[in-house]
Amino acid sequence: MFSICNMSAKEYVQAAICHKDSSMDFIKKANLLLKTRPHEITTGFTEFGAKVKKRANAVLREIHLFSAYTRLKPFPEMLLVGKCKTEHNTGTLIAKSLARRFNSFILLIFTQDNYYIDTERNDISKFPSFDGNTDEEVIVQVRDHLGTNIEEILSDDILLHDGDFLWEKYYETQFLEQRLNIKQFRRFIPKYVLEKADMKIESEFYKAVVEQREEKRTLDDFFKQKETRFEKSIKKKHSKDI
Amino acid sequence: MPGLLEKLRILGEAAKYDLCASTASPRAHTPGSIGRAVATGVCHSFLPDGRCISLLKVLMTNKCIHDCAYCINSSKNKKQFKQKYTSFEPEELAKLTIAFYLRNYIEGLFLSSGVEKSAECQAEIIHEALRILRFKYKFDGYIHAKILPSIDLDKLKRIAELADRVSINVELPNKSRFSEICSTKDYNNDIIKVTKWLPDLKRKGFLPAGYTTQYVIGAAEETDKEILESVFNFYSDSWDFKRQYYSTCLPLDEKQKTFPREFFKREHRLYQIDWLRRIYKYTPKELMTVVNEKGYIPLREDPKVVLARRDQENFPIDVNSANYNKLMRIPGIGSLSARRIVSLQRKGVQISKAEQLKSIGVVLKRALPFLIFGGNKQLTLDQFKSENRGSL
Repeated sequence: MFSICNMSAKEYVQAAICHKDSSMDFIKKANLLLKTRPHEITTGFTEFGAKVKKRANAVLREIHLFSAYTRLKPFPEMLLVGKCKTEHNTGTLIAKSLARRFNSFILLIFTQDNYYIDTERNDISKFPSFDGNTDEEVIVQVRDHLGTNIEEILSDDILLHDGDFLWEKYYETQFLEQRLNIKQFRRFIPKYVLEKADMKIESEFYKAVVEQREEKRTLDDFFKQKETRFEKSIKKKHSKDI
Repeated sequence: MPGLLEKLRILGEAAKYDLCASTASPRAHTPGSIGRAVATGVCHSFLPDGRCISLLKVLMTNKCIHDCAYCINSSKNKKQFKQKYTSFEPEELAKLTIAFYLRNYIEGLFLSSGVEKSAECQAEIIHEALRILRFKYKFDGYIHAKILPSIDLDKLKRIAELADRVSINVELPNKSRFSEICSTKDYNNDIIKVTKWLPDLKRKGFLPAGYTTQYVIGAAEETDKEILESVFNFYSDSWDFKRQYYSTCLPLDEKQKTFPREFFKREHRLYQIDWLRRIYKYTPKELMTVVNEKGYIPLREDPKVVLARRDQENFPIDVNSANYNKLMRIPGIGSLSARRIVSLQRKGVQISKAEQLKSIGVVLKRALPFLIFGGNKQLTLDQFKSENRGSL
């Protein structure tokens, strides 16, 4: 797996290949650059080097974000199921990344057009292809397959069926209204991730907090905001002139 | 007796002011276990206040015999804020942690506690929860345990065996400040005495992710100078703290729901100084020069910019020839961009344009006044004035 920091040029190229816009021509050029001037990729110093790096970072970012934010549903057959809408060809890598974290489980990740299954267990490394019409049908087939191939079973105690509801309540308790910092929140969880990683609880709470704040806004707030925007635009113009 | 949901609500709410950031632990993974604590932790959730909640942060109990003025759970504030009191059963907490972990909500557990009867007794309960989690449920994720003041070495050792990281909150920088806000704990005998055992435990192989502490900012009349003296001392080799956290003391009644960002500026500046010490390797002596005669860090400006401005002998710096340590002194350049610049220097690549620096990750608006590249330097307003005066 890739690590997000201190990447080598080879790792950047490997990641860039998974980008949705990477054509065969791009891959050939990137491999050539890797052989001749790899530092251009690691530093993003030239135009093409920067392009490779930018694409790699987009892919790695997606893997990182979805490995972190894709919510999973546990099943007794040591199965964890998650859904996300990926932009790049990262389904396999997301499943692999999560399988590494939950290494005694089988990970089943649905994207908008496919499913990916992965595990680090030694007793069940190969899977047949499951061809259900819906995600639910695939889950049933995978569960049947695991039921006959794995002896281990997760107890109901651990599964805690109302786990999502409990998390929702816990999430609400941790919020400090005095520190409200929407900009910071959006930096860590961009809006598209909230939707694509299926983060319902966080998404709804965020909406409630922001909308409530909007409702509470006074005319003074409106003018204050307008004033700061004006100051910013003047500053920007000033820095451009310099 | 409240149900699990109610307990989670009460004990989660009670722990929300505690700070935790890193979930990285170099502890070896046990095959066949649930989860994995890795060297680079992942954040799984953020709140609209911008804080990360990668760990299930709860108290074991919110009943407490201590009378800390800043804490809503303290015996002193019991009458004023009519709270419900409850405790988790160790087994309950262990199941909850596993359930959240499997759903990919958290990276591990952050367990703190009030002191219901005695610190010893409470430490025993904390240990039991961790033991169930590690051995019964084979949990191999990250665990951060709070150490209660005045526990004995044996209890500390047993908790340290199971946790990746422990922390003991010093809360205030010295004994006299501490006594302003708490009469039931003694700074030296209850906190520093326990803290002194931590470096030794780390050396013996316990606590793979180290140990940390936390200050509550503005709870007493403490100055930044006092806090920094304590911080620099704890970062010295003899103490070797991994991190120190700063949390602004918020009013307990929560009538005032929002504060301007400026309210948290003092905390922010302390974090900046902390980073300059740990990552940028500024000496305590250098950093203390930022503090004004009243003992506070000026809130108006970034301390790194203040230090760079004062150091006129060494600035501006030629980005194509400066070494890593010098580059780290330039505002707008962090360790990653400094490493990238050094790597380019080694390959004989000359930086000649501001855009190249930007692509490396340098924050131009802060860095440019302190840099020379391609034989040029940016004229600052001060220089502009003096040069014009000269020509006139």
